Amino acid sequence: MPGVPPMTWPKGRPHDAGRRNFLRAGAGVVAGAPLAACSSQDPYSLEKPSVPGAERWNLHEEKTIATACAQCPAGCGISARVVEGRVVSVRGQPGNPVHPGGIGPRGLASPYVLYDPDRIRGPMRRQGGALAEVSWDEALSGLATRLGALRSRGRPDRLAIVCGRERGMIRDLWERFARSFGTPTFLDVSLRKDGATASALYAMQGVRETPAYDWPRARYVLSLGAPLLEESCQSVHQARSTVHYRTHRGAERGTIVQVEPSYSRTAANADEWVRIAPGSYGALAMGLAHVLVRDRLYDRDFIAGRAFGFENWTDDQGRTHRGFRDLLVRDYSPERVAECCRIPTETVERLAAELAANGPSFVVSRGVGTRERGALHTAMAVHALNALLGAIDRPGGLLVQSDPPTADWPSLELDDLAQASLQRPGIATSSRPLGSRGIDDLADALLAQPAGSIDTLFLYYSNPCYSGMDPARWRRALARVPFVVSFSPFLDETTAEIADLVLPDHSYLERWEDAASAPSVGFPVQGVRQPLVEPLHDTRPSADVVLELARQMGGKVAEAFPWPDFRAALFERLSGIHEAQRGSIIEGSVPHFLRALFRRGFWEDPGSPRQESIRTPSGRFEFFSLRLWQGFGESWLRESGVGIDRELACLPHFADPAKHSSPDFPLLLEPYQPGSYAEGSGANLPVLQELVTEPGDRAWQTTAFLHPDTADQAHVAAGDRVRIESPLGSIELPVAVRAGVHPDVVRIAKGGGHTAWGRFALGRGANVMELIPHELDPFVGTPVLQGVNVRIRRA
Amino acid sequence: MMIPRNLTRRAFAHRFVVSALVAASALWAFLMSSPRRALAGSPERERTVATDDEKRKWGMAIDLDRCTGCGACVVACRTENNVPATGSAEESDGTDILWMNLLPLEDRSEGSESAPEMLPLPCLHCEDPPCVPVCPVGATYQTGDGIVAQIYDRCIGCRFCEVACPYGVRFFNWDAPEWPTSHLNTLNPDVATRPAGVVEKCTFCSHRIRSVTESARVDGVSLSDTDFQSLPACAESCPAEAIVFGDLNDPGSRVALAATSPRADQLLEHLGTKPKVFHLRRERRH
Repeated sequence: MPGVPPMTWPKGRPHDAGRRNFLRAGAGVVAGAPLAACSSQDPYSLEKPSVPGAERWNLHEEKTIATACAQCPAGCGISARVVEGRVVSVRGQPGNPVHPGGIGPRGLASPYVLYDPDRIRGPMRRQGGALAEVSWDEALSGLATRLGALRSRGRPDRLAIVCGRERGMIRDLWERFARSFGTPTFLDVSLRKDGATASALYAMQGVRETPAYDWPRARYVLSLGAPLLEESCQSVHQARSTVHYRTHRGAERGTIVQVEPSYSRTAANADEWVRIAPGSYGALAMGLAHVLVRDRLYDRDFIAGRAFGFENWTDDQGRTHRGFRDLLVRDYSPERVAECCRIPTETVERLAAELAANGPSFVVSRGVGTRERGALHTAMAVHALNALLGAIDRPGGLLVQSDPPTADWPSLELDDLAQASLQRPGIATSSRPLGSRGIDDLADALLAQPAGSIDTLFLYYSNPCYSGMDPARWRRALARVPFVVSFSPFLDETTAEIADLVLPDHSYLERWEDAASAPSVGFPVQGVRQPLVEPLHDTRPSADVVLELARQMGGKVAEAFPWPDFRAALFERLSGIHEAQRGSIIEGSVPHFLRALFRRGFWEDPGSPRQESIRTPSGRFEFFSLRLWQGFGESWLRESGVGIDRELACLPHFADPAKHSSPDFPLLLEPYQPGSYAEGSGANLPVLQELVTEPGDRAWQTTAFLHPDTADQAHVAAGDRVRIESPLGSIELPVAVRAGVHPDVVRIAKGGGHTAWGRFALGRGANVMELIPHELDPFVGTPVLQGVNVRIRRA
Repeated sequence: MMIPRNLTRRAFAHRFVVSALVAASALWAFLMSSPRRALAGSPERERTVATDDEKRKWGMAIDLDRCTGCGACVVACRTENNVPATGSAEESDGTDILWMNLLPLEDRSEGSESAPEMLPLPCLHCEDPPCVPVCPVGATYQTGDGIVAQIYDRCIGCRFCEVACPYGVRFFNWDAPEWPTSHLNTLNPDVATRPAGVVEKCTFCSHRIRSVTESARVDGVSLSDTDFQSLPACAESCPAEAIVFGDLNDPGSRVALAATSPRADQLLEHLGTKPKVFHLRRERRH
């Protein structure tokens, strides 16, 4: 055979003698090679460190274990390859309905989460300013004494709990603990991600969750700034479904149009990119609705049969209220909208006509598009547009994700103290019309109230001193809490700088858990997590710590948690799926069911009957939201200082976000989430730090992207360093110049600039959150991240 | 290859005939152990490799119409093939190694959605690889099934191949690889790490090909195209199913069909290197 040189292998090829032996044997062979001899260390002699439990594995033994990724809320199923007690790699779970087969870069980096050299090794307590090791018994009994004292003083409301997981039984467990303990201050992070979209669904459809978009059956999708392929949540599902949507149907190729100020990754992968002025999504949605109504292109059966508030209506008192049609027709002509969005009028007309002509179609807006001022009403306008297209609860449109039929835990019995304490307002209570509140309310509340109003704060998967708006303000707020407990497995900013007690959780590859998935396919899916290896360090699953704390509280609090460990609590609820006797796993007994479930990694029920999808007070889809009408009240509108007519506030509309534009700060900040390491929690993973997925970006860095004209005006070129200043603060970054960036913006990825989080994250790039002042949307409380005024100058 | 194939076969047969007892016990051992274990324990058996390999011609198709540029292939390749991270541009100073690279394309973002931004670029395993003839020591060669392979122990680090490759997919190890101790746990035991001073490159995950074909041979089952389609780590990981692998000599395989698609491109085709990786152009509405 030409080109094949004669060769003989050394004894001990990689695939015969033990693989580990090969690494050693190879060392002997190479040691003689002159070049290898130049290197000071012997490169083949890599001896893997010992790991707990390895003695129970045979040489070369390997297993494939099903579990679920927890790098983002999507909860993709993964199959891990475990060799001799070590997790070597993961792959996507074959057959998983959410993302058959494939898996994203973050999921693939899972083993590096487990083996992060800077993981916290065991519980720690702050002594004299520094964290020092402490035993679990000491840490837990100390904490239990503190919590017991709060209860004996009759003030359990002085405990606050922040739960960084939006879904799943661990969230339920924390909430159960908060209630049985008696604190009304239980906060989560769900508003941060898709809070506006979920709130719009609640206001108009009565469902407090984001919709599941039925990609496989749609033909045309218009995305108003939705970061479908960047944002970690469900990006794998999105990549999968957008691709199938376009390439698996022969002539019926689906179309995706991305409307966004800058050329994002989603825009780069769409069929068409429409550049729109920053902050004008809501106007476009209303303009499109106007054209649909004007040209009678909307789903008249749905509007007539299942909708409320489209036409003007009269209430019980005989008062006439404005309908959606009236608002649309008067205020949102395509010409006006086009001017506001700075796009041609024809584009508005064409997009509306295409949406109507290529049904089933739907409009999606989440993420960036709904993190501006007026996010609720933008999201409502998009949802109204979907209703006009007849996309609500229809194949090829927006479905309501059904939950798996898990069993309930025994109903919660509260003791008198908890009952009384839960009546207290608590800190960070929401007066917002839809009652929504989240972690970002905590900073406000802590700063507004006397120090010590919250005595003890639990932070579970939450690092506000890095990921919150204005991290310095968060530091000030948390300094007012006498005792902060962190459950993070990693030494993040909040844990390293603020926490008084650190009770490190297992990593997600070491613990038992359910894996609740963000809405995706519509039908119920239940994923599970199980330990792949024995815990590496002296960590404990936080769920078990909750059970232990409850036990030490005694009385009704202890009785509320009757399980020996969380695994028992988990199995109890999962057994409900077995009782239902449907879906992809049907077995004769609970143990058989659980065995099959944990072997496969997920349960699904595509044939599940769909739940009622419209759950509003009127029983119809509400263009005029009655929940908002009741929630607002004149007094709230007056007190909150939101200058808006109560009637208008209940209807989808576009309120031009006051840009506070000043000659000093002529540009707008456009923070975005890179696909690779999200909002920063993946920055400790070198394989992700080294991953560049955008032209102009560089590994291990944060980059400020500018339009060529913007760069010219600032007299900077690619590679120069610039200082980006906002009214709040400034950061310094290298510049990349791209024609796809909107000329009015500075585009900066989140995730850089860690001051903790381990050796790989530390000091890389800059944290864009340091430029963003604390501002919450007054209606729902979502953080306003888009539209901060900035300026740049050469550094 | 100078593997004494006939001799081994004869030796194997000889043993089989001479002692029925040995044969029975060998059969029993074979049946009782997993294919993987049987392989690992018996180098003789492994050397009776069927010549199927040489009838195959491995190739890959990367459909840019599906690729979203997420980078899963890059991470999957790194973890599968024990490629260490090298640090930022300043720290690595151009020494970074990417068997699978996401190559940024020129900024054409102003209204040209038909061009991708990022191009996944593994070794193209050319049919006429310019890197092979320049190697003065025979450290790089083409296997019978078309993989351009590298023998690290032979490589003298002259980097001729790196210069000869028009695609920039060969990488020189300026330093010995380094991992934090705990990261050593994630090293794939199927792939050796490379020392300083040698050139390394994408292997089409030949260790996986070998594992699958050997297991099938031992089990006596025949393999079909579906067994290969997502065999390399990059193809397996791709959330968008953009990467298809397989036998170009099998006219019905997905990769062979993709290679004959009117959308199929071979990078720098005019050089006559005949890459066996095909990039399929985008289709967009406009």
